[in-house]
Amino acid sequence: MHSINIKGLCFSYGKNNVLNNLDLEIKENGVYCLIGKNGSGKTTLLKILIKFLPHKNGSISINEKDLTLFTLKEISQTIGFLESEMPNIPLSIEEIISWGNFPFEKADRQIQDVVNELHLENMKDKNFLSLSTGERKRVLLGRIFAQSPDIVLIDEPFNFLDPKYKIEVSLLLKKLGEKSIVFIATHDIEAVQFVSEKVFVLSNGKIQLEDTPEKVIKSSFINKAFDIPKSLRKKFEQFYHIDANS
Amino acid sequence: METTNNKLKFLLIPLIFIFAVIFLLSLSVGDINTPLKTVFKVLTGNGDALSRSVIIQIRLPRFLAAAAVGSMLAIAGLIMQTIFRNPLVDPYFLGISSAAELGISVAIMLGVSSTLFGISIMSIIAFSFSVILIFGIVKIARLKNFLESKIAIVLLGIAISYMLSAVNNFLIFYKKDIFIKSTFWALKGFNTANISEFLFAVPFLVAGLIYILFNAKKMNIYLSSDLTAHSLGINLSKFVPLMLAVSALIAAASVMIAGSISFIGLFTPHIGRLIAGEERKKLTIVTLLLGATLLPAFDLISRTVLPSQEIPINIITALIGAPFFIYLFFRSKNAQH
Amino acid sequence: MFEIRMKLAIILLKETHMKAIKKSVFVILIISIIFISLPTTSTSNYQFDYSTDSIYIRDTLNNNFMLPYKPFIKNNVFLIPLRATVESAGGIVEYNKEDRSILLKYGNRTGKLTLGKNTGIAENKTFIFAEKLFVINGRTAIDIRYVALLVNGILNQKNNSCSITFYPIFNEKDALHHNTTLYTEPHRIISLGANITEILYAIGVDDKIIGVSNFSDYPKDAKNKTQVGGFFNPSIEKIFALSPDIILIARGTPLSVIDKLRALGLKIYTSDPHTIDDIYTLILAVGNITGNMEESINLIKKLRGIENNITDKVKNIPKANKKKIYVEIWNNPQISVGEDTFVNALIEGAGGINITKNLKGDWPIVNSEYIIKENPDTIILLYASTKTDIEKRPGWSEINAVKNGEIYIEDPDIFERPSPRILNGLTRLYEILYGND
Repeated sequence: MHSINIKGLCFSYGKNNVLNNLDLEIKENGVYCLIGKNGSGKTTLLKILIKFLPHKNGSISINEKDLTLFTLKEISQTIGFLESEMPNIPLSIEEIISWGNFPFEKADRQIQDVVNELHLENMKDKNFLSLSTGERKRVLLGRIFAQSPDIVLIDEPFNFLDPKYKIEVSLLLKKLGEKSIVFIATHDIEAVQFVSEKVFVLSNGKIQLEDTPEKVIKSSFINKAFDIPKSLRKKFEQFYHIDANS
Repeated sequence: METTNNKLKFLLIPLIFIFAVIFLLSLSVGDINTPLKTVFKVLTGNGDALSRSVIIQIRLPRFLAAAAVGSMLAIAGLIMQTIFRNPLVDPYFLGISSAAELGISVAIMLGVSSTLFGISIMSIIAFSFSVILIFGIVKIARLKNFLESKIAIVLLGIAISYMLSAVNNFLIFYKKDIFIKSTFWALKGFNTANISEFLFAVPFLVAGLIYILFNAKKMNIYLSSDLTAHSLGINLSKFVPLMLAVSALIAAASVMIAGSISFIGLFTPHIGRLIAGEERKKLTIVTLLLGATLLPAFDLISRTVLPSQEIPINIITALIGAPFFIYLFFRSKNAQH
Repeated sequence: MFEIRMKLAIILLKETHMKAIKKSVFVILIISIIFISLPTTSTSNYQFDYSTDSIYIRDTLNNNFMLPYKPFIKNNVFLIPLRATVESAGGIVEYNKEDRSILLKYGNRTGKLTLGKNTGIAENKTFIFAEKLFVINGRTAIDIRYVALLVNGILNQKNNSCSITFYPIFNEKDALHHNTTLYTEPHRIISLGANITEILYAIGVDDKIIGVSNFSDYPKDAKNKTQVGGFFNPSIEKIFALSPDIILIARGTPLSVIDKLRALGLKIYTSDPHTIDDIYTLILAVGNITGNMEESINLIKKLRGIENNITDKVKNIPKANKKKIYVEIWNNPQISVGEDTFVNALIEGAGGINITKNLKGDWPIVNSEYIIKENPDTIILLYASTKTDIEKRPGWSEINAVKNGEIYIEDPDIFERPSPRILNGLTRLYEILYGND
């Protein structure tokens, strides 16, 4: 079984403390969401997990192996990562999906399966830039399918997606979650409710709350985590159909 | 709908055809009249002594040198543009040409004039200076872990090359000889190209090409972003300096042969991109071939525009390259909006 | 032709005239300049502009600087300040505190005055002033007639105006069509051209050189002179500090430098010889400026003798026997010489045919093919390359000069520098082409 285990993680950009003694544990496959307001350190945490940023205090282990012992190559074989910004390059879709094989140095491994699985057969020679935002996201997820890592880290997967693609992407994430730990940083509360089993709320550099999406959203803490002022609370509950009394 | 489904061989056939045309023109056009028929005779081992020595010993080395330098600059430019993800960067970006110029001034000051294996020692000193500069920049950048930020490398390169120019200017103002001779050296071009220079260039070209083709996939991934490249296992603190060093070595070898030639290294990759798309393997091969065609063509123009004499090649490349550069600039400006 | 008469007219407008124009009651003097020149020449470049409060020296570019003194009139005698007037005309004023005497030098002419006395001497002639010499506002007032005597000028006095006509020793347009006017012989010369330094040495006025450009390397002694920087980037401060009487400038000095020096009030003579005759003209001008006409005429005679000797020999060479020559200034790229160069002039003077004469530009880049096609009989290398390099070049073994070993490495200075040594270049070229006889 796959796992992520973080204990006492601290991180700061200069004097600005972003993560402060953060603990987090995931032991089973599935889709997990990390929510928090802008600037709360969600992306920072993901970057630390792929060793793009160094961590000094605290310990991180992936599949019960200390992160510091991973080589860059082992990380790329174990963790699939999608950043929030989409690449802006006119390459073919097949080329981009094939990047999933890059860490394994085997050409054409699984590419055809992925293309079939994601129904990309008739567009695999197309230019990535000629696709719509939703289709691009699907292709990038296809790259993760080709990589088929133990851990999938995705930053803001639902940004700029229309409802159709939001559902489609969510279903793909759930599919990934059957074989891997899918850990998503987002603030899309609707999608969180649909896609995830467990939600972690990041605030003041710590995981302040972890629970099922329903319970997290109904908790009073959500207001604090997203900095929602009293005057807007009613509207917030209406907006997300939260029945505060139940 | 735009596709990237251009098969390489369909691209290569017309390019190779144009290359062959330029090759034959380069061998047959000149002050001494040698029609195509004579060229074929000479190429098949016949022909009179004068035509033979003119075609084989003067025009052929010149064509080969121009083709080699053209493809070297094109490839070096392509790498630089990839690494900085900036289409307006050229192979001399890190100050290779100013290092070479300083090398020339130092060589003149030392009174060096002999040759080594048919290559002037002056050029070899120029090349050494460029190489020292490249490794100096990479070394300093690594010391401070600057490699994460490409702007730091650029600033470092610019600062060092200004420093080198300052030393060079000091030498120039100090001695009349250096003033005159370094002015002439800058006009070098392919006027006196010989086969030794071409043979010197070939290993750099071949090694660079092989290195790029092996790393084409890495370059494709690198194009998307540092973060994605890192997450797919590309060690940026090795990949970036190695790529820069490869590009700079190729560029330095080209400067040694022909001095610094403007614009070729800048716009050839762009033409390549229009033809082949962004995929690095295809793009590298097409860009290489384009460089090997364009520079000999410009060289042909430089020695035929005025009867019996030559215009410095830089004038030709700049006259054609500068308008292209301006066009490119406006196009990329528009693309941002 | 150098005798341009500069007429310094002092026009005095009387108080009463001015009252009609202005309400204020004080004496207003307007002193302006009228230049009268001989029909053969144009106006001089300096203007003395006198107004009530101050006097300006203004050149034709309208750069002016103010002299700190005021002219005035007393008992119908025109009095002008001694030092400023004499110095601005190029003379020297020395004051001896002990016996209160003033020594004046204007070129070769001298004068002597003593404060408190009513007599003065100018060129051994005694001059009697209307009253004793006196100082007003710190300046010695002097009768304009005495100055006229000192500078050997002609005094004209008419009603309210007064003028002196005096003769400059040198007044000529230079290469920039700018008048250079000297009223006295220069004792402090700066040369910004290696060729001019050579000329100064050749006519024997090297003792007057106080500064040279860094590239002045001939004769050897020139290297011991104070260096003022390269011809293209001389130190303006250093030149100014040396306070030269004249700066002689050769081709290549930027206009901005020349303008700056001129704005500092320094006298400048620029030159730009293109032919051997131009060099003779330059030698003559330098002789004229330095007062060494005789030496420069002798030098020119000698040089012309060398030139005529070769011209006579060349006349006898039939056209068909004239040799073709390729001169290489630089080897990589191969740079040769075009028509408007000294090397080309020398080649033609020595009866050779320059194979690159008809190419465009002064320094055309030529390719091997063209040289092989033209097949020169002689090759001369000026800055770079060796005989073996030439022999090794592909296809060059076909060239007559290479076959016959007619390849020479020569000192570029005697071929390219517009100095008297250019005739050595001519002689050497003839010798190379047609032997010693």
